[in-house]
Amino acid sequence: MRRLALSFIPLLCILYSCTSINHIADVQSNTVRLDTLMLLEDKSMESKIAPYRDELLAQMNVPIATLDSDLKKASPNSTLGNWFADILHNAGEKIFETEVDFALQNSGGLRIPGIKQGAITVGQIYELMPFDNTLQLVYLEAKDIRLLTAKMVDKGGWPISHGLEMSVLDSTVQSIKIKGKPLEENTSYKVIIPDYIANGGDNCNFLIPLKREESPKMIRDVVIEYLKEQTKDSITQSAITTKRFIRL
Amino acid sequence: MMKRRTFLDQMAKGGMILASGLPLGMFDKAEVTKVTILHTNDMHSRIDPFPMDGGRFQGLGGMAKRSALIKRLRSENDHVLLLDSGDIFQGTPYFNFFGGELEFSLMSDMQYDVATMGNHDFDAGIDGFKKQLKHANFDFVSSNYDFRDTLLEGQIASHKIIEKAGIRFGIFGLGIELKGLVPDALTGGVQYNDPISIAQQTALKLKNEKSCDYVICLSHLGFKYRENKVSDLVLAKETSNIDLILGGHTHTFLKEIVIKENAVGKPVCINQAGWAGILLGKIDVYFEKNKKSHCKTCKNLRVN
Repeated sequence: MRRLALSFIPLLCILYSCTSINHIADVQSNTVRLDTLMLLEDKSMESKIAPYRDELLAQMNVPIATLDSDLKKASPNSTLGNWFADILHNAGEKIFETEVDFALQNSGGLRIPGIKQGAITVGQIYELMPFDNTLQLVYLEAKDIRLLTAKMVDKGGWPISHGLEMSVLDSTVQSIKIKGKPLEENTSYKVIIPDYIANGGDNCNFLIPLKREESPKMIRDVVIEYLKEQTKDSITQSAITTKRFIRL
Repeated sequence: MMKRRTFLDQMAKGGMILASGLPLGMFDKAEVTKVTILHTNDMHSRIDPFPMDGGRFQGLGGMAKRSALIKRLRSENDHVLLLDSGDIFQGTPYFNFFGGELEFSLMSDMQYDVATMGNHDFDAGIDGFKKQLKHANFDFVSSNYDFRDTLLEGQIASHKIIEKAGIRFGIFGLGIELKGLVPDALTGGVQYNDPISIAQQTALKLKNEKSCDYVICLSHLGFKYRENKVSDLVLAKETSNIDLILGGHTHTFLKEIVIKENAVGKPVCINQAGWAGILLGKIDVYFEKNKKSHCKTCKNLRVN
């Protein structure tokens, strides 16, 4: 009889649950914004950061160029994108010692929302282009350019240099002009592309098999050098507002 | 919203909570415990606040400020979990120059419990990541990256279980597809597996086999996409047994948690805290402990 009673215990446990249950009674979210006035810094952490910061700032706070108007990142066209792609175009011609048709940069590769008018420092270029990417000169035919421009439309538009103009209706490329001329079959176009994209990044697999030349220089070093040279020649950096990606 | 939270806080501190809108004394006492989940994502090497250059985020963020805030919140709350959803690396010269050492070291000082890996955490290669692991005294979890036969084999767990106030938290990680996003040379042979099926298996295991009361997914999949691509919203809808998804990758600033129905109609909370340490996500979860299956204080989480 006793044994029978005992054998009921597990059943009772199932019915009434012998172990405690932690019910989720409520969930409240209250995200905190870390703004300047909100609180003091953790002093011990601050003193741990300080020597690293000092070492960095000595190299980063060096002005290398002057910018006469704000540059802002946006898609598909932006002053930051035009400026950056033009630098890749112009600097790329020097690196590969040839005239190129255009240059491009994927939007995701530019990591700050803009650069304010005034001095441009080494640190800003590091923040703009923190990746250890390099440049490639890739040879594209008309069919490859069509794939590339379609990909750019798909991605909401990427920074492109002064050599390329594309018109887009809804999500279809209507016309492509390279150096002011319509796309020609059986022509090999020279395009400056970051290695990340040229090697198939951002789903650009179609670029992988194409003929190319590579340079070991990192893009940010290319940009820093280019800006220093411009400054030496007394050239000020400016915003270019031309639309290269035209929505019809 | 604020008033109600304060009310709940006070009730929870008193160790007792009453069903609202009903006369006092009608109910037994219920033991309610609050666990505070703090979280970040996509901190992108933002050690210092954004510079005061007139930019959109000027003065925001900064790890020394975050540390002070976390210390204060720890002093105000008994049970705290501190989690990160990946992309710790890359974005300021601190990473280019010091390789992520300072990021891991400061996160250790703040007593992070668990983090997952984002795509940018591969930017110095998995050898670069491995080299910095000695500066991290918190754990990394990833369930859908397979590190077998890579330099990180045996160093990244699928999940971690943490107990706070007798409540078991099962925490697992999900990473984004690396192909096309991170060059093969940097991923060092890490294999990506479908996050949905892995999440389903892992969450089930944590709830049933490991008796976890609350399952948290640290996700670096992204909040949502225009195109048909796996995201936190898809993950929430297509799985069961996940209670909270803490996301990253899309740098999404959510004003408050998003609540969705999972595959079996139960609520899943989703949050993401912008990026660069501009926000610190704070989620208070209240647990009622009892020996019955009936919960006296439970609120129905409204899907939004």
